[in-house]
Amino acid sequence: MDMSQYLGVFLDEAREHLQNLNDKLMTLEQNAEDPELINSIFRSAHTLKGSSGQMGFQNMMELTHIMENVFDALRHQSIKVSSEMIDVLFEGLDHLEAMADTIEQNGSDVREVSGTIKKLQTLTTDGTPDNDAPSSDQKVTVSTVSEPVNTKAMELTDYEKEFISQAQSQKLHVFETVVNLNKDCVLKAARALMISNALEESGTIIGTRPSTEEIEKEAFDQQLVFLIATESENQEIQNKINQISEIENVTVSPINNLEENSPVVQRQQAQDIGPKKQAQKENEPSKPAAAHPAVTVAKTIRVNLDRIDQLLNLFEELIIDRGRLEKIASDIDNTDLKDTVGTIKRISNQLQETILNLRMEPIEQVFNRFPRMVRNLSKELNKKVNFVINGAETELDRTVIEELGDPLMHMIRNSMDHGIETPEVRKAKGKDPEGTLSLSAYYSGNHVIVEIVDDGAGINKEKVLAKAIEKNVVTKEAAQKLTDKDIYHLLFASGFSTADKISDISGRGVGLDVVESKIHSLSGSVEVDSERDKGSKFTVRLPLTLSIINALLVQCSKEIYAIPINSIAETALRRHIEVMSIHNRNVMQYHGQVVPIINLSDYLSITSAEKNNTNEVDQGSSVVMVNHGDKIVALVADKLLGYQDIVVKPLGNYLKNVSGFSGATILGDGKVALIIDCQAIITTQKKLFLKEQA
Amino acid sequence: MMTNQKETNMKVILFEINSESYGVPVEQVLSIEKVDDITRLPNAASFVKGVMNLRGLIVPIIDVRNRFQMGESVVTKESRIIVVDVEDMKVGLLVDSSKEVLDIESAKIEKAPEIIGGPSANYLNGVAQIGDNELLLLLNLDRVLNQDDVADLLKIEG
Repeated sequence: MDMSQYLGVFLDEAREHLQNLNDKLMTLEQNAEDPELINSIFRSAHTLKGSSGQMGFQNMMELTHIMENVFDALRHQSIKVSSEMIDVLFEGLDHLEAMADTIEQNGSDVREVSGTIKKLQTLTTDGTPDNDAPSSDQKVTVSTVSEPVNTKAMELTDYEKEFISQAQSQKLHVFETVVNLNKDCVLKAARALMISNALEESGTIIGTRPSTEEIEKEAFDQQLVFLIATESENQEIQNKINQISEIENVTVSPINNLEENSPVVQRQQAQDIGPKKQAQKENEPSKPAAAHPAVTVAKTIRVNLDRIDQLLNLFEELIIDRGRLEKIASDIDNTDLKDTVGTIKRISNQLQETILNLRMEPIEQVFNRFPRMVRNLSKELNKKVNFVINGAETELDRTVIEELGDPLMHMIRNSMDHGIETPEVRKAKGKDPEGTLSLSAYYSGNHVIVEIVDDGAGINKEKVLAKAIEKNVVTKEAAQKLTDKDIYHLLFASGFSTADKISDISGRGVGLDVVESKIHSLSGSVEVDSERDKGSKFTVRLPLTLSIINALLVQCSKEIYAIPINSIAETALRRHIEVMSIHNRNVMQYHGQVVPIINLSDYLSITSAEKNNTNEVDQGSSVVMVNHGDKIVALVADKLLGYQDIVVKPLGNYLKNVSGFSGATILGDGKVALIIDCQAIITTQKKLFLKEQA
Repeated sequence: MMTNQKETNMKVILFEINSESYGVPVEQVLSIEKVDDITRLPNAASFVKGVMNLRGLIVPIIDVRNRFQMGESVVTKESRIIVVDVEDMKVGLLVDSSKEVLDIESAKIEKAPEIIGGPSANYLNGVAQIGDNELLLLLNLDRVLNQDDVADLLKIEG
């Protein structure tokens, strides 16, 4: 049989099992005595061994087999969990993961693993049951499961009864087909699909036990029951199924006495089924899809990401045209047109949500690689750390997820290295020798917040400042004006590292500045808060999605710009605010804070010839308060044009050096409007401020 | 014979800047467009005229004349934008006019004589004679679009 069609399924499954092993091994170290845990580990390894063997990946199978021996020995408590053992097992897992990767790339699982195999073998050499023991042991448990074949005890639903009587009135045979899969059958779902396909060839499947959904999820042992209506005889069906490999046995038995249950139904049906199959065919589509396992298997489908991206691209085009349409409708002022445009807008909003949802994935995908990392680091650094993950189910756009791994890794490493102290130091400080590092994600409005909190030493402000001055990141004079948060934020400045000794974990001075630029490129922001000897908190704010955002369109002279709503704190009329002046700079009071006023016309270097006459316009113009973190500036624009969903388009490679804009969008009239990067405004403003102070 | 033919001939899109004829190989050209609304891009180099919506794609527009430091182009009815694709960068070149596609024999292409000098000399791949008294300047787009010198400029400004 050609196996290549199962390769994708195999790899997905293998990765799931590997992830499961990964997670469970982490827990095993703490709960060595939990039999359920060891069993789960054993099962994953066992399945993986079987499926890799079946797919012909010998190396993978052998390695898994040897690991399975270790798990089996643990299961029988002939050996005890030790930290060294977990290390070796992780080493094995790493090899398996690497194999899965190379299988995906070039179909080969060849890899040098003899060292690891030797180490694994020494784990089990003392007093382990020999290799055959597990399988014989398994045989016992399995055969008890497959024994009770309760052929006639199947309870039928009303729908099935109706269908059966309908079929019988058409002189079709109805069979209950009980299939027992081979006990070490792997890819049971695929096998079940093959069986149901074979049955579909000869008739119609009325129902299955377990349900198709459970079959898809492989939530069954060895037994599958199919109810089938067919013209064929039971022997034919039996033969057909027996041709499929890995099947223990098949029994096909007719069901014929439903009469006492549903004579009425039968009579009713007999009337409209009279003209034979035709009517049945017509009835079928209106039935719930459950009658067709072959169809329901497609309830979840794997879709190439390119197609979803393509869908999103098309949708973006639609949004642009929708904007155009809205503009036309407001110009023409026709009620029908307006209503229709309103409907289109509503539907496309729903469409947008649906499409964007397709791209959402749980942040777990990034998070679940960290427990291992933290464990390794804590060994390397001789620190005791309790690593806690919260909100792993929080969903984010997959583009963001893909890019998030590295920055988070840097920050966790940083917390492990610089934050959490060694147990001795912690004891001396009167803290629990075991430190806590938590990684959490949660929603906050249109954002997802990711927090990394440690209860370690906190950030030494003086040290950071001294270092920053030494490295010319800030001047001495400017340093005095900085708030605590500003100082903490200096950690993200490039070329900055406070670690006294350079370790290979962090402190190469390249970590955190990369973190900030990466997060910035995702339109996110990062903040640090810290308290001496209590710990520090890194907060990353990320937008839920990147491609379609709500923005305020503003006009300056004749040009139109978009300001993302995420950055906007408030808008006000220019004449309602009181402008003050400090050092020839316009500022205003905002919630007790003095914030600088920036004239967008100046910032965007709109030449004075294009500028309208200043004073008069000032009165009619508007102020947009934008914030980034806790920094706020006020932007003055000539006119606010209103909020609109816009599609963010990149400016492209050629303009990658141009700062101040996070992209562009196409307006209803086909013109391009630039999207103002508020973070950049605030950063330049801050730099300007520091420069002046200096 | 056929392959020979292909090797020795080169299709070139012909356009004019400042009454001089320039050419770029057709393979590098995506399309030729009329000048639509160009949105000014503050903070960009002076020869970046702005960005334009090209059927849903945002394309930067470069004023080639300005890039060659020969002053700023004036957009007229004849003006065209030649959209080129070089090393994954899609860029529109604003030129005074563009009329034809030409076949040029490779043999007729000569190295740009240093004597030409002038601002555009750095950006040429070669020169070919077309017609009786006319020279075609073949642009080296990699160099036209290279921004290393520009980045330096910006740094000084910024």
